[in-house]
Amino acid sequence: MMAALLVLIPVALPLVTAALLLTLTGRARLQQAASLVSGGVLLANAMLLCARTASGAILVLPLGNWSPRVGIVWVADALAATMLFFVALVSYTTLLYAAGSLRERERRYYYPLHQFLLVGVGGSLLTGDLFNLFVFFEIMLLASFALIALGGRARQICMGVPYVIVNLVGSALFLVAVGAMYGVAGTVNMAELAVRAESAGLPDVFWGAAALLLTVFMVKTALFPVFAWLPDSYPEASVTVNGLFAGLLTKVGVYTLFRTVPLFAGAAPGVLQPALVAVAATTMLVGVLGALGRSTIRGVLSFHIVSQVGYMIFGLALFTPLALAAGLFHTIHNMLAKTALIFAGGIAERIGGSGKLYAVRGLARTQPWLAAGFFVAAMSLAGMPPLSGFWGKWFLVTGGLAAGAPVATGISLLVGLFTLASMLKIWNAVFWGEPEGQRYPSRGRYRGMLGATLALAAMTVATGLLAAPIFSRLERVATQLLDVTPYVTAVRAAESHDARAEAP
Amino acid sequence: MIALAAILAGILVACGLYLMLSRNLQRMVIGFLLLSNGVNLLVLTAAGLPARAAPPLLGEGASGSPFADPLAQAFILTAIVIGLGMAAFLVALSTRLHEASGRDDVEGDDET
Repeated sequence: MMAALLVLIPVALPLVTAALLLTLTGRARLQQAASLVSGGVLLANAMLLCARTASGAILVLPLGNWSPRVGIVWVADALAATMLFFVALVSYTTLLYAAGSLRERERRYYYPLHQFLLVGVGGSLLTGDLFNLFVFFEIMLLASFALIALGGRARQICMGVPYVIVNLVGSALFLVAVGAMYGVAGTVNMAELAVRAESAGLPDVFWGAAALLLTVFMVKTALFPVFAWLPDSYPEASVTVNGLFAGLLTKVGVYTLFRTVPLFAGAAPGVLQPALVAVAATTMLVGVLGALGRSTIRGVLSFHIVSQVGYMIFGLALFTPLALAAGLFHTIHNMLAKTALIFAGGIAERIGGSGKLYAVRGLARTQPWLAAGFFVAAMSLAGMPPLSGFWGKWFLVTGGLAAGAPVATGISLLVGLFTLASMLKIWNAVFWGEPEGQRYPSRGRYRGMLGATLALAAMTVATGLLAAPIFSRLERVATQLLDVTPYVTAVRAAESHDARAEAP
Repeated sequence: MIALAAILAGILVACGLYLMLSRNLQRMVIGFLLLSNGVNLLVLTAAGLPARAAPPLLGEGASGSPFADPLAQAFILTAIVIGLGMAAFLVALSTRLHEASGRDDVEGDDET
């Protein structure tokens, strides 16, 4: 009962909260307070789930007692629980930031949409079958579409349209892949599909559908060559939305790749691994070079998301527990550091009245705390010890060399250098030098905004200092992921349990 | 039957994609509707179209005759609802863009 509740809450609670918040439309303060309470419960729930799954236990909840082969099944393992915890964390800090940062028009509908987005994210993390993954992706997308166009300005909508269209086509392909897989294998449950892929005898159509599925996840994750929807649309959204998306959306794509690829990797054609490594390395490089060429604060930071996603998939592509854990560590580090950077950039943008580099200067003098928060997060992203980014890269490099991928590892080091360059570009343009162009200094003083930024920056420091225990936990997660058997056994066990229950 | 359905799905998807590549938002909406219907048809076809299949209403005296796959129908039903929501959003978006800029296309301005 307790276990069932733990697995249900991450989806059910945001849904109920969203419905409640809609009745409070127009009362933003009340909405924020209710969101924070709900976010606190979510955070506590995620911690309990982490504790429950830490020893390798996998909680399975078949809804309506259908067999997992045909019914809806929810699965919470250590990977889902860990991701859920950091999702809840980023979501909570975003709520703290939102009150000061949103404009009047945006404030009206932001909070319910935030909750709807959480429904989609939570569902995507916990679902055990591909069709429900599609459904929750759609919920997440619809909420994100509305959030990105929240300001309602013509330019915002124009830049958001490619995001909408690319993702809609992606979703259509997703459904095609799921339909084809169902037609061939007779199930869409991930564990069952893994068993059927393993036992061979599936026609080539199945692998075609699997390739299509992989492509769709690459679109959602913003990997090269299908990342172009991201860098133009994200900076146009409001700062709060941009920070939330940077922390959650592409990371859900990363999660789905971590979830599905090991399930099929054992039986997949041999080209999969080199192809993934090549995609990851190119993504890193293209992302960072694109970021260097941008001329607004959030433009640089948003393009960087692409580059960082490459690191995470690089960890996945190597298929060793060490590298996989490194990819996960990098994912967690990035959720915290990237959101912190965008929040800090957003405050600078508020103070200067413009997001262009060099429009506002010398913030290190006038806003030392803001500058400190940005500096810590930026150095973390660039991989300076002892911050979390350093450990993420360190584990990846050791994992990459151990797995025998020296070229891609070399590229990841080179990209680290470029990352440092682009962070220094922002630092020089915005924080260094004589104070200039700070037209609205009072706007940066809102405590929630600065507090959220500093809290996230502090968390990247803490993650860096606690790297050893976190990494050893992630290594266990990775081992569980690569050895598919426990996941499959847990999901299938739910069926035999049901068969017994139905017998009398 | 399957070949016919597959060709029809292909035509719908092709027309849908062509319209979605347009810069005019109304065309995008129509394109999206065609695309999602094409995909739904494809899912139905992929699950198999047995000849003279009965509806999947099986009671006590169920015969051994072939019946349509209920799960594929459940998938499509869900996908139709989602498609409706997305189409509604696209229409709202095009209305909002028309209010904000007086135009219905996302032509041009590529300055960053």
